[in-house]
Parts: sequence; C-alpha cells; structure tokens
Amino acid sequence: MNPNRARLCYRLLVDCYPLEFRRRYGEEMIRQLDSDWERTRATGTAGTRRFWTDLLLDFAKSWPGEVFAAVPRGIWILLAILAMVDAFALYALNWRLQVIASAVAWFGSLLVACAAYFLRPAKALGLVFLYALVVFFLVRIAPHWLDLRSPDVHTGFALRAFVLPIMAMQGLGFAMSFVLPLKRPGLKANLRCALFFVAPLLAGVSLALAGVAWNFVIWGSTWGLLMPQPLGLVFRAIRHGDLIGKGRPAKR
Amino acid sequence: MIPLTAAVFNILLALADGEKHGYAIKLEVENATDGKIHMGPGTLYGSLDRMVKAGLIEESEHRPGADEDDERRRYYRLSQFGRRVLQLEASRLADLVRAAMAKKVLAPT
Repeated sequence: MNPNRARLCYRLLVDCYPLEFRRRYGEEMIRQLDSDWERTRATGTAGTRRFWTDLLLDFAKSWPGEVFAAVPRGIWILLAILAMVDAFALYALNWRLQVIASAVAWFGSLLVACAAYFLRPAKALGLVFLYALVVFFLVRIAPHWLDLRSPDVHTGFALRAFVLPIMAMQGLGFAMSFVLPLKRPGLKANLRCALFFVAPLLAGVSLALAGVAWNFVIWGSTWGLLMPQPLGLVFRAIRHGDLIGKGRPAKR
Repeated sequence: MIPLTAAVFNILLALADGEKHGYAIKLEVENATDGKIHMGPGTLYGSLDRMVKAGLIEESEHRPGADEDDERRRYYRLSQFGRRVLQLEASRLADLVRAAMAKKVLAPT
C-alpha cells in the first residue's frame, strides 16, 4: 500500500472522531501516521499487518471515549443555539438534515439496487450489508459533496444526534422487512414485515420530533413520504426474487 | 488524580526534561519503555487533550530552534501542577518498589 492510500484509509478513521477533536488534532494524527508508516514499510508484510492491527485497536480504544466526551458539549451548544439563533439558521439546519435524509433514501436505494443487480449476493444478509455500506459512505461523503457539513460544531452534532439513529432504525426496518418474508412466506409474515418496516420509521420520526421539535411537519413529510418510496421499490424487487441469489441474469 | 494511568505518567515523564511535540513524546515513551508501551495516535492525542484540560500540561508558544522546529506541530510542556503530580506519582511508585523489595518480591538493585 502506498503512503497516499494509507493516509486516505486513516483519514476515514480520523473523520469518525468528533469534529472539535478532529479539527484540533486530525492533521497531527495523520502526520504521525505518515512518519510511522515510513518506518513500518521497511519491516515487510508482517510489520505492516501489525501496524494496521495496532492502529485499528487504538481507534477502537480511543474513539468511544472521545465521542462520549464530546456529547455534553454538543448538547450544550445545541441548547444554546435553540435559545439564540434566528429562524433562518434553524431553517438552514433543518434543510441540511432533510437533504441528507432524501439523499440517503433515494441515492442509497438506487445504489443498493444497482449493486445488488451486478453483485448478486447469495443471501439476504449480503444485501443488508450492501445497504449498510452505502448508507455509511453516503453519510461520510454526501456532506463533502453538498457542503452540508458546516464548519460549526452544532451541525456536526446535529447530524450525529438525529440523523444517524434515525437511519439506523430505518436500516433495521428495511432489513427486517425482507428477511422475515424470506424465512416464512405468507400473509402473517407479510404483515409482520410491514410492522417491522413501519415501526422503526415511526420511531425515527418520533425521535426527530423529540429532538428537533420545530418544523415537524417537514420532518414528517420527509421521512414519511420520501423514505418508503425508493426503499419500497427495492423491497418489492427483492420480494419478487429479482436481486438475490440467482446468479447473474442472462442477457435478454 | 493519582494514581495516574501508564499513558499519562509516561507522557509527563517524557515532558520532564523539556517541551516536545506529540510525535516526539510518542517516540520518547517507546524508547524509554523499550517499546512495551505503544501509543497510537488516538490514545496519544486523546491523552494530551485531557491532560491540557486537567492543567497537567500546557501548550507552548515557544519553539525550540529554527532548524528543529515544525511550526505546524503543537508543542507541549509540563505545568507546575503537572510537575508536582509527576513527583507525587513517582514517589508513590518508589514506595511501592521499596515495599516489594522489603518483601523480597524484587531483588535490591
């Protein structure tokens, strides 16, 4: 692996740290990686493997603590913003969240459907994995594309606090909605599947309402109307067996 | 605050003889412990951040020398409080070593 690729991989990890920590130490951490990587490359494959194992363990040990430490400050900032900012700022923040929600719903589902068509995962779990992967990368990359990640700390916090849990629930509902009918086909399974699909959606919207009390109509319409449509398309395709486990389709 | 974690104690020890930047601290700790304590970037900068907030160390504006300096790096030095905590922790560890020697767990050096 060349230094640029190693740096890119590590930058993805550094990006997961809280915004303030990343701003303060991110560049130095990457520079440290550069220096360590130069020393490690000379030690061969075993050394390289150990290097990355140590790096991942270090990330696993330090990341939860930093995220946990950043939460009280994030809550405080969010409360301060709620008390002080004008309507336009709230609107801008809300709009950003909605753009991400829509982007994940539409582009995520589209990408999953395309990926599933070409990769033909053998099991439903493969598709769940693909969906998780796409959602993860959209969340990491979409803000850069659309300039959604504001330099302000509060936006970073808001993204993590509200969008990620909702998407996690949405993903769970989506996964369950096709895993269940695959295992036990029939009307009951379909009803249960609908429940699994709708319940996390409602829970997500409730969370959004509790967290961002303002503008709940727009939130409701975003999550209630936009999300089920593209996900439903993928869901129906899966139900009809178009995407899972039949090998690459013959050209017609 | 006492007892200190191994990472915090070693960082304080590395800074005892002068200010250093993060990577120099890491190298010093690894050399001093024969590589037994390895600090990855997350652990190192997380510890430094907490130590600055606790007042054990402070960021230095002074740079050591034009040819050695990397102005993009942050330099750290011990605060008075940090030096006192380091002394207390070192004497606590020395007491423990003495107690171990008295019980013949450790051979006297």
